[in-house]
Amino acid sequence: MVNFLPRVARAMAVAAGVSLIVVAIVVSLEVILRKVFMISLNVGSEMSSYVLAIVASWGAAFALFERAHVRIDALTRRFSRRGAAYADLVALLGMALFSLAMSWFAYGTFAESLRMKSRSMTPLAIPLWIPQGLWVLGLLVFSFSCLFLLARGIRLVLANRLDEAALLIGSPTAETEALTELSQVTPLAEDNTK
Amino acid sequence: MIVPSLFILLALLAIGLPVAAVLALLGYLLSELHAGLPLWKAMGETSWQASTNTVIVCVPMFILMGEVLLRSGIASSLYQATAKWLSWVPGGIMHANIAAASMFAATSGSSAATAATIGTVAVPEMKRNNYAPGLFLGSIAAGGTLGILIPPSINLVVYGVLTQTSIPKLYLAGFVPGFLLTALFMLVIFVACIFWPRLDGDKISFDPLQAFRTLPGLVPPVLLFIIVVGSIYLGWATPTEAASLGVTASLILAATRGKLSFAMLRDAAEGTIRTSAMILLIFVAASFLNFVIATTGLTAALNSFIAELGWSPFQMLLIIIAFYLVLGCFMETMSMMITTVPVITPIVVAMGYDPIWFGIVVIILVEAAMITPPVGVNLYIVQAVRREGSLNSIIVGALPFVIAMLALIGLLIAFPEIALWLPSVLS
Repeated sequence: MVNFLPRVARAMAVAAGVSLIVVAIVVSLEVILRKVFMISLNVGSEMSSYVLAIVASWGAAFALFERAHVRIDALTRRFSRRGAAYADLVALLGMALFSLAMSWFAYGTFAESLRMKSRSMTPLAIPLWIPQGLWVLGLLVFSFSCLFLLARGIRLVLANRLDEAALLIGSPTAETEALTELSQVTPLAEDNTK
Repeated sequence: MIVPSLFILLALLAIGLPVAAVLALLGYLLSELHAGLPLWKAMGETSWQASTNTVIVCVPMFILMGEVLLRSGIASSLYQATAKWLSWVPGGIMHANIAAASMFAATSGSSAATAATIGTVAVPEMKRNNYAPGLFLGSIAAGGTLGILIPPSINLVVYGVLTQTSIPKLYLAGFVPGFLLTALFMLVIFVACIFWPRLDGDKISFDPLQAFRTLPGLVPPVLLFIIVVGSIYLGWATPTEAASLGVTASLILAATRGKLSFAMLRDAAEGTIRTSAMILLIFVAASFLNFVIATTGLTAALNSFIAELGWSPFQMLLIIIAFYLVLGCFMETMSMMITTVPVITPIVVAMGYDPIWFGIVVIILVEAAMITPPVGVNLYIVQAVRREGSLNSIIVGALPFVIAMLALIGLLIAFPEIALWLPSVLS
């Protein structure tokens, strides 16, 4: 379980990223078809809007595990280690409440579409419950990840394992964030200067 | 009503709650305290609307394009080319830091990625040619910020969506200030190196043959720029379609350079989602908050509150600029924009300023935020590239460029045409 959820989150993020790549290519082909061959398909715009919802919801849990959701830590950074750990728990609790509310109301929207048999107002007339269902699924994984991290964070803090807690739920320092950004560039950049 | 909400907002942010959660929580509290109806029940609908906004699709698309380009290795050839052409000017390859960053950033969305990319190729050059680190590293941090002003820019898309202003017009408005700021940055370097020659590095003489041989390195960024920005102005593509074309073109570019692989695509996908999911969650929460604010009439209350203060539009503008400078020291820039722009822009427009013009001013303030401590993402990136020495020298080295940004804002206030001329001529 400890590794399972982060792995699921990462796989979902890659899936969302790949669907973004696919939709970019579809939309590009559509623009070329429209301009060069005067063929109008008009499916790309609608597809891309659903992919946006997938990127937002399927990526949320991954961003959580990567500690990428932005917080202002200028003040809490000055706390003692224990104080900072409690602040991290409060922050995660806030995120958990938000994610649960999102999931709850998103589910309401999904259930309404399913009940009303709503379809998109486009030539495709897609039943809205399909993209909305995928969207809700991502939000549920996000909520579940928040609760999972909260439970682990509380256990670590109570066991006084503050360093581990900071690594798991703490706000990443500017330095480590910079290193993450850099690790994506460096091996390639060195490769290029040959 | 205004003061308590502002207080709640700041208090929740200060204890380190995630920005997205703060916005949603504030929306809930405002709807509980001030609305007759349970507005928070609309959260599902506002979230779905925000999550499927066809213009916002630009945001992950441009991030993806940057992630692919980052891994395509075009930055290195681009840097070598600009360095060969500019190394003879006083200030030497520091001008290449600015020029290469502005060209690379004009094809990429993230200023952090730009600073990291240019920094990685520039820092070895700094050591080899004996430049004084402060100004050199400051110029990388500052140069990296240019990309969000020169189109295509993710931040301008977000501003356009939040304020319902035309994104093509915002892009047009960004051109002249973007190139002006590039010139101001170079002027800063030039003047500094004339007065303090010790800041300058070893002189490299200009070799026309070598310089011409590096020119192909400039082709990919120029081509991408033409595809992405050109297709918008020819009316061939919406901004979202243009961003998609940019992704496809950069994939082809990476393929021709032999950099396209499954591992590379997976890394690019992960990097894209990490940043996009964070921005989108804040955007979704902000959309809910803005819905509550609009429905409860908070905007009107805010405007009358401002009117009662009795400040002149100019005084108000100065206060807003100061507010952004201070906030920018402590807040990540995209979340700062999404949180403040929907509330502040209507005030500024009500005072008679142009929303397109104000968009450009906000972007420059966001750029300043990226290189002012303690939270200045580009400062830390450059420090991480360098791996030694103190952060303080970079902070000091970036300061002259912050002054250049403030000078540009001054120019924009005195001559709004700098931003507004191009959109008025071309539309």
